Amino acid sequence: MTESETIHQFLQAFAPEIGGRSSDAVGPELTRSIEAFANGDLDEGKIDEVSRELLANENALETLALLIKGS
Amino acid sequence: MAHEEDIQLVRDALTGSTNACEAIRGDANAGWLEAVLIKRGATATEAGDIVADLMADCFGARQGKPPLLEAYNGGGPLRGFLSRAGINRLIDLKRRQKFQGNLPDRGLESGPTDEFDLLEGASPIDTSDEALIDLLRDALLHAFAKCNPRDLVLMRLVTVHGVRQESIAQRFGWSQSKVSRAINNAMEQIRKETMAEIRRTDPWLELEWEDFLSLCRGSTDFFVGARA
Repeated sequence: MTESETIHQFLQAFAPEIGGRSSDAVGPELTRSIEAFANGDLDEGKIDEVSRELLANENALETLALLIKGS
Repeated sequence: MAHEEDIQLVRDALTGSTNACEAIRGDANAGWLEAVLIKRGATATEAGDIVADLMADCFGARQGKPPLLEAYNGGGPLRGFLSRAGINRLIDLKRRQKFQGNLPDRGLESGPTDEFDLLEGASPIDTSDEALIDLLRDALLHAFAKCNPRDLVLMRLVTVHGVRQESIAQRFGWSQSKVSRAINNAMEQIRKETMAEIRRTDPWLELEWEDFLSLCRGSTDFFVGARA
């Protein structure tokens, strides 16, 4: 198991709000931001902003993951 | 099943086998556990006291709680279980010592505010790893908050969602080494900030990064495994 896997497994068990169980709906605006993120269309400041939203919403991160995997 | 011998040893001890009890609380285990605690920052006296209490709690119910060994689920070696319980108590002890040393020095003329309210409640013997898990989790959350959010997203995409680094590189028009560097940067920042936070909150604790990771693994082995 890698260091990153160890940490994420721990957080999923003991800090679910960080470890990936937060599951707010992904609204249309965030969906557009995710698509722009995946397409590399965001400037640095916007990347940080969208990244924070992604880290707070596991569904949003999953959406990004599916977009990238599908490319 | 993993650690079947330890599970059987614990079963035997809990059903009254003298040999099994002695194997668990004998000098070899107790001495080893004291050494673990001293290595983590306990004094010899603290280590001896913690181990004596811990061994007593392994077999006897106290304060309405079942024997500590009943919580052993075979998720890791028995020594790992005992060392986690010992470290947990050491953290609890050190934090209470720190708290008691920081009581505000206020005169009687300071009014009716009850200093007793400022004291922590009695800390019952705890069979959980609450103090240890809090320490690990809080340090990691602190580190995550300090981390570059984009790099953290990339790390989570790869680690949690199984996205390949090549796919990210292709999508972003990056080289794969740039993706790899971003993820390594996130991991390095997490390591640095986590250890800094532990040194800040619990400076007495002797812990290296590998120890930290090992304690995280043990947490999921013993507790998630127990719930499964």
